[in-house]
Amino acid sequence: MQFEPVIGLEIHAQLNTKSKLFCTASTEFGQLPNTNVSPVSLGLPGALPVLNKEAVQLAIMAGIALDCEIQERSIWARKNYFYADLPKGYQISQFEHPICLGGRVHLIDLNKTVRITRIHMEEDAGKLNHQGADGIAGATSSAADLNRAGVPLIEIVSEPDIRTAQEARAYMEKVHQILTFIGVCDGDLEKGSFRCDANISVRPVGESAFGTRTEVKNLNSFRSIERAVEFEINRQISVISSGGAIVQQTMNFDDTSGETTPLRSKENAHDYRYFPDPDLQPLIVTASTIAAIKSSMPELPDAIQERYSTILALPAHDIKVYLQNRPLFDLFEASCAHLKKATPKDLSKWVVGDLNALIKESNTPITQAPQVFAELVDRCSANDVSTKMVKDLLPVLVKGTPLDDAIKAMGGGQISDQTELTTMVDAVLNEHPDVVEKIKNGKTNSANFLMGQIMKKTQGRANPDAVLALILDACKPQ
Amino acid sequence: MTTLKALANLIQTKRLGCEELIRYVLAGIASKNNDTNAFIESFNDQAISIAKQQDKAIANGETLPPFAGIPMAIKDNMCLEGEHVSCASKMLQNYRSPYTATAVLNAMGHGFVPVGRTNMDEFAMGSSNEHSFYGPVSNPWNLDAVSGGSSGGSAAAVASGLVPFSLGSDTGGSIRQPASFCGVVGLKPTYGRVSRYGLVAFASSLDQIGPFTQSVEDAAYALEAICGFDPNDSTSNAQPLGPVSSELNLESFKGKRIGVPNELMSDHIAPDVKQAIQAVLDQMAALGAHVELFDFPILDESLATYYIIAPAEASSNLSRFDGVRYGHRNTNAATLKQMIQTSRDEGFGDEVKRRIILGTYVLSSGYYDAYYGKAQQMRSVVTDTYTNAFSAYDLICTPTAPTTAFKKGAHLNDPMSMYLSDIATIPVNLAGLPALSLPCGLDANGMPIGFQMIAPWFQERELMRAAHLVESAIQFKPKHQLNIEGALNAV
Amino acid sequence: MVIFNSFSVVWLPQFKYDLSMTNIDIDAICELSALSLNQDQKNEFSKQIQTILTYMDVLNARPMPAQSQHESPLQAVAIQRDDQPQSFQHDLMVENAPDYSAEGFVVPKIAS
Repeated sequence: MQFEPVIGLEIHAQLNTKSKLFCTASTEFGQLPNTNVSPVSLGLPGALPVLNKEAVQLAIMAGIALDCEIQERSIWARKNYFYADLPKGYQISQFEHPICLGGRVHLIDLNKTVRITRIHMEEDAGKLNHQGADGIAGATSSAADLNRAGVPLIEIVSEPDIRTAQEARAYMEKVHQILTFIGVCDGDLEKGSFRCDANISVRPVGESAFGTRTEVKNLNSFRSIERAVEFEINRQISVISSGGAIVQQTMNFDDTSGETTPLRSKENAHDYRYFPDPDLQPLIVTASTIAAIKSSMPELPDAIQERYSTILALPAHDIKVYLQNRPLFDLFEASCAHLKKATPKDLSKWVVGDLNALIKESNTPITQAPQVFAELVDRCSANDVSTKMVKDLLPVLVKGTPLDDAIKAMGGGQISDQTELTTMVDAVLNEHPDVVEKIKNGKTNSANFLMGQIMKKTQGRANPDAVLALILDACKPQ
Repeated sequence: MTTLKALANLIQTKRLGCEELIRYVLAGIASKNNDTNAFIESFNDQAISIAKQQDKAIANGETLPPFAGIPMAIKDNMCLEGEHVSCASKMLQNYRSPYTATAVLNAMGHGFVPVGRTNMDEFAMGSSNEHSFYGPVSNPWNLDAVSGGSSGGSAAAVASGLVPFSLGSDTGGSIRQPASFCGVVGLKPTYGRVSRYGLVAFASSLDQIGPFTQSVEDAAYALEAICGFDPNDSTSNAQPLGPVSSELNLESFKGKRIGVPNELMSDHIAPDVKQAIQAVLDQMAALGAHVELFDFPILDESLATYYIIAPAEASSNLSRFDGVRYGHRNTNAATLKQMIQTSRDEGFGDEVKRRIILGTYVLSSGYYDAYYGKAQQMRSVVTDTYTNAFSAYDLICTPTAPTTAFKKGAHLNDPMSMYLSDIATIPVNLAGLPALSLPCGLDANGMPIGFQMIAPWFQERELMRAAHLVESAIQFKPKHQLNIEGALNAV
Repeated sequence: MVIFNSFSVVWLPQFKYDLSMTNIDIDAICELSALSLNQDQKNEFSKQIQTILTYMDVLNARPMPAQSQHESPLQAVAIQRDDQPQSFQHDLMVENAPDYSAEGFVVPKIAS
C-alpha cells in the first residue's frame, strides 16, 4: 500500500525584545541563573503582569509578514499545570482568541503553499538544570533557572499541508528567513530562539481522513526537522504495514541516533483548564495601529527575491546572501540607490564578496556612508580606478576614510595614458629580456609577471587591460 | 474632629512625636492583642525606624506628608518589603516580601506608618476569620463571637482602638461584613480604584483593597491616600477620584432617590437587623430622601456565580504555591510531583483546599461551559441589573449582612451556610461597584449592625457624602477608640 | 446574641436537583489541583462540594441573555509598557527559597 504523510508544524519563535512579555526583567542571553528576574517572573505572591508593547508590535509584524488576519481583539488565557520551570503554575498564552488567524507561506522552489492556522503570543518557561546525570531521567535533582521564564514567544501553527520531510524543512527555513529578515526574531537556533514541534501522521493514498498522529518535540535545527520527520514517517509506515497501530503520543528526537522515541507518558491526559486571565485586559489592536505597522514594514523576502532577480538581475547566490543577512541587504540597498554608471550586479559583486568578508572580519558595523561604495564601483566602471584598486581601497574605506583621500594615499587614480604606460612597459621589457623571449615563444602567461612588475611600480594604478595590450604587442613573435 | 485629623494635628503642631505615637500604639498592640488576636505580628523595628526618620525630618523643618507618624495596620495579604506576609497560611509562614504593595506604598507616601499585619481567613477565604493558621479573631464587642471575615483582624484592630486605620481586602464582602460585625466603617472602592499590585491574589477579578476606620471622614482620608492609577496593575483604572474628604458637607437628601432591594428586607434578614436598617431608611427619608423598595431577583444567582468565579480564579492564583521558590516545602518527598502535592497538602488549610478543588472542578474540561461559562454570563446580568437600578436610584441601601456576628464555630462545619452570610455583599463585587458599611445600631444582644450603601461605578465621592450625612444622623457610639489622651499622657 | 441559624435553610432555592450532574471524580480533581488528600478528606470534600455544586445549578435553571445590554463600566485602559529592561535583585529571593544552589531553585528528581 502507498502512504501519504500528513504533517503540520508548530514553530516557537522568540520575539526580539529587550524585556520580558509581562515584566521588565531583561531577556539577555547567557546570564547567571536567576539574574533576569522580577517579582512577576519569579511568580511572587502579589505580582501582576503588564504587557510589553514592543512584543505586540513584533507579533503583529510577524502576522503581516505571514499574510495573516490581525485580530482586533485577542484574549490572554491561563494554561494551568504544575512544573518546576513554570513559576506561576500557569502559562499566560492565547487560546480561543489569538492575535492572528489565517495566513500562508509560499515555498517558491517547491512550488508549494503551506497555510497557517493561527499565531498566538505566549510566555516561555524557565530552564531546568539536571544534576547528577546528563538527562532528566537519571538526575538526582534539578535546579530551576528562571532567566528565560516570561520571555515573549509567538507560536505559529500551520495547517497539516506538509507532505514530505523536505517540505517540512523548507517551510521551517522559510519562516525562519522571513522572521529574522524583518527583525521579529533573532533566529538563533542554538540559543533556542527558534524551535519547532512536528505533528506527523500517515494515511493510505486517496484516503481523506487523517491517521493517528504523533507529536515530535523540540526540533531545533533545520537538519533535525528533516531527519526527524523522515524517520517518523518511515516508522509509522512500517508499524502500519506490519499490522500495528499508531499510538497518539509525544515523541522525542535523538539527534545522535537519528531516531524518534516516545517521551515518558505524562500522568493523565492534560486538562489545562484554560480560562481568560483576569489580571489582563483583552488586547485591542486598532486598524490604525495595524496600518502604521504595515507602512513601516520592510520589504518582504519574496518581494525582494522577485525584484532582485527580474529587475536588478542579481545572481541567485547574491540574493540568498542578502535574505540571510539583513544588515548587508540594507547596505546594498542604500548604496544601490546612488549608482550612476555601474550596474547593481557590479555593485553586488563587491558587497557580497569583499565587503561582506570585511564586515565579518572586523565584526563591527560599517561607519562609511553607503553612497561611497556606489561611487567607487561607478569609478571602476568608468575605468578611473582598477578592480585591483577597488580591492585595495575597500579595507581602507570601511574604516570611514573619504574616497578621495584613500585614492590620493595610493598615489592617485588609474593610469591609462598611452605614452606614460608605453615608457613604463619599455623599461620593464628591457629589464627582463628572458621573459620577453618566453612570451615571444608563445608562453603568453608570462606576461602576468611583467604586469606584476608594472603594478608594483605604480602601486596598482596602471590600467591592467592597457598594460597587457602593450606588453603583448611588444612581444609579438616576429 | 476625626481620629486621623486629630492625630495629624498633634504631630504637625509638635505636641506629639511620630516615634512617641508609634511606640504608644505598638505597646497597645503588645498588651491588648491577646483579647482579639487581631494582629499576627507588629513591625516594631521598621515602624520605629520610619517614625524616627519622620521626627528627624520635622526637626529639620522639612514639610512632611499630612499623615506622617500616623499608624496603620495592613491585612496579612499585602506586601511590605522586608516583612513577612503569610495570608494567615502555614504555606507562607516564613515568607518575606522583597517588594511593597502599591496601596501600602501610596499610604506610606501620605505619611502613614505600617505598624503590623492583621489576622485574616487563610488566603482571604472565609467569612468569620476562623480559617486562620494563627487562630480565630474575636469580636471586640463580644469575645465569644466572630469578627467576620476575611479581613477580621483589620476590622477588630480598629474596633478595639489599637489603630485608627487599617487596610483590608474585599472579594465578596471581606471588608464590609467584618466592618458590620465589628461596628466600624468599611469601604470597598470601585474595582480598579486601588491598585492590586502587591496584594496576594484570591480572586483577581473581584479583589479590591479598602480601609477600615471609625468614621466616614477617616475613610475618605484613607481612600485618598491609597487610590490611584498604577501602571503595574493592568486592571487599575485612571478615573480621577476628585476631592472627597473636603466635600463631606451634604446637608440633606432632597432630590436623592434611594433604592432598597426587596429581597434584602425580607424574612431572610434577622429581625433586629431589619429593624435597624428600616430606622436608618426612615431617617434618610426624614432628611428628604425618596426611599423605595425594588425587586432585585438575582441574589441566589449572584451567590452561585461568585462561588464559581472566585474559586476558579483562586485555584489558578494559588498554583504558584508549589514549594519550589518560596513557601512551605515537604523535605521528605522523593520526587518533584510528590514534593508539590505534599507541600500543598501540609501548607493549605481545609477551606483553601475545598475552594481549590471546587475551582479546579468548574474549570475542568467538560464542565467549563456549564459552570464557568454560565457564571460569566450571569455576571453581566448582575452588572446590567445594577446599571438599570442606578438609572432609577442614586444609591442602593441594604443591610451589610443578614445577621450580626455569630458565635465562633456556628457555621464552621457547613460551608454553604457560611457562604450565605455574604449574600448582600457578593453582588457588589461581581459588578465591581463601590460600597461602604456603616455601623448603624446594635441588636438585642448589643452586637453592631451594618448599613450597606452602594453607589454607581467610580462615585465614591457621592457615596461618602451620603454616608457622612447618615453617620451624623445616627450618632453611633464605638465600643473602643484609640485613646489620644493616653498617647499624650504617655509622653 | 441572635444566632440566626435558620436563614441558610430558608434561602436554598426551590427546585429539583439533578445530582447526577455533580457526581465528581474527586481523584482526578485532586490530581489536577496537585493535592493528595486522604480518603476521609476526599469523602468530606466530595460531599460538601456536591452540595455547593447543587446550589450552583440555580444558574443552569435560569435562561441567560445572549449578550450584555451594556458596555462594561469598568473597561480600563489597556496598559502596555515600553520595552525597557530594569534589574531586580533582592537577597530575599534566595533567603525565601527552600533549597537554592548556584544553578537555581533546587527540586527533587523529576522522573519517578
